[in-house]
Amino acid sequence: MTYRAGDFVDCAFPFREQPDRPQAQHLHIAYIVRVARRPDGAYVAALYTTTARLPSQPRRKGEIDIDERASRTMGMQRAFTIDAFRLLIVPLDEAWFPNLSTPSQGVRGRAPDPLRRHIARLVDRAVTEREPLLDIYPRRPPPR
Amino acid sequence: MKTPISMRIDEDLLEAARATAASEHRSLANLIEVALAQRIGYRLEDRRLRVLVPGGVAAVRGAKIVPVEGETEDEVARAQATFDRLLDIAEHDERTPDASPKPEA
Repeated sequence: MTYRAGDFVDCAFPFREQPDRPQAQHLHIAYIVRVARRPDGAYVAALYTTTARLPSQPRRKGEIDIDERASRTMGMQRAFTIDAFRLLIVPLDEAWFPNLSTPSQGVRGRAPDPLRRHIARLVDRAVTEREPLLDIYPRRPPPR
Repeated sequence: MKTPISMRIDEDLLEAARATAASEHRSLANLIEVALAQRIGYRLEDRRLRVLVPGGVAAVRGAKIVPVEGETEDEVARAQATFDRLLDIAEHDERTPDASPKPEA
């Protein structure tokens, strides 16, 4: 068994100040956008989530609020926010998912299909918005 | 990304909104957008997708996405294209840090 797109899992999501370092002491629940495989192993694209945003704070572009009722139907306890603009791609291993070898594998819940599709569309749109910039700065240097 | 919409609106309200927009040297669309954002508690800002690949993009290149149950071939192809584009974005940000979205406070 492995993670599936739509799962909410325990993740050592890095701090902004230390983006290369898993924060195993401060586990966050991450939303799994996609699992991908290479011959050398599996990789996961995951979104940051937080329960720390106050209802009085204005929502920002890319944020999806999940209220407590919806959260409970998905297997979790508290209202939270998914940030579709903060995405992490990492190996599917215990460094990034410390509860991977526990019976639950650190899976906290699962998004229903309509939410999974909504998030996928939001990520698609966010990618499209970045594309003009990618065209200005080509991804690979031209051949010499 | 801006999406055009069409809507019906009270004629007098529209007149008043146009006058307000003109007096504030802004477009009617901007006036409506800002008022709507305030009403629903939405923060308008130039925020962009940020993709972190701590192990480096090269380590992930070529990965094939795992389809979700019930997905059509077209949906899988689109998802693969999005995944590859996410890696392009991360690679771009690695190469040109000055042009990339800054970490937010």
